[in-house]
Amino acid sequence: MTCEEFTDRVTDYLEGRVPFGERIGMWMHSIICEHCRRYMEQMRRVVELSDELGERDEREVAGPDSEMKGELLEEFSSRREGE
Amino acid sequence: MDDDSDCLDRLLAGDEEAFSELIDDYHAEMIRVAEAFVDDRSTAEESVQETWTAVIEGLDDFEGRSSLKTWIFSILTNQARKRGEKEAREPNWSELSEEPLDREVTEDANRFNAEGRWSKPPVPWSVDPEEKTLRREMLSVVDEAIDDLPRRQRVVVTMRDVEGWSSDEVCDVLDISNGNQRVLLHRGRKKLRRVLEEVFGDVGGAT
Repeated sequence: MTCEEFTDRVTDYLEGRVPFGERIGMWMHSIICEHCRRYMEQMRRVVELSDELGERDEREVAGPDSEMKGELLEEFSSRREGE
Repeated sequence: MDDDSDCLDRLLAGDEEAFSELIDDYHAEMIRVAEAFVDDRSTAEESVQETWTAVIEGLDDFEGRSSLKTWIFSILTNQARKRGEKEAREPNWSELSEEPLDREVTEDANRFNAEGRWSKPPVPWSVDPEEKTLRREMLSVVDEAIDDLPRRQRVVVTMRDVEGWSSDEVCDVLDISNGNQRVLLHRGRKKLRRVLEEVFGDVGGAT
């Protein structure tokens, strides 16, 4: 396995989509190649950072303002009553 | 799924409380997902509002073949997609889905030699993960880098990695294959890694 092939498969690897034999091959490659090991670690960090970003946004992005929510609830009720 | 059908029953019965809970559960997430399709916040908010109206109108026709979440976000995706295409910053979604997916895979190719070994290996990041200011800085770099991704990559990375959806949910809502989804995810993550490397790469410490 070359380094280029290894990097092409990193996401599939993290997704658990690499067949067993090839998985072993990637694992062995990462033992002998520190660059690919670093690449894999950094890709994991990318995923973690995006996840943290989601948590940050969850704290920061508020729900609908009460006026808009009120309108939606009214729309919902009048529609359901009209059934 | 039981929760889902329970919720649906209450919605169909006109239970305002159930609709209120639905809004609380999904509204903010819908805005974040819509923002991956369109250029600005107010357009994203409009798409979300339209989606709620479509949900109210469409409840009777919802057959429960997908989860409520998948149904709601599919409507949102269609609304936001249309608006994003009107803004026409990028070629539209359907054109892009015809694009051969292997074209971009070797964009890091100049970092490998003819034998496929690293000629420009990844540079370590000079980041102390315990350092709060730096962490915040990294987050805002990732935030901006996601905004700069091509739309399909941006949407998939947002749903999978930022919002934490499963690959099945993403494929259902976007109506794409799992393989296709993984390619978009891989390309997006690769670009984010490169941007982080450019900003935080510790060239002096490279081995």
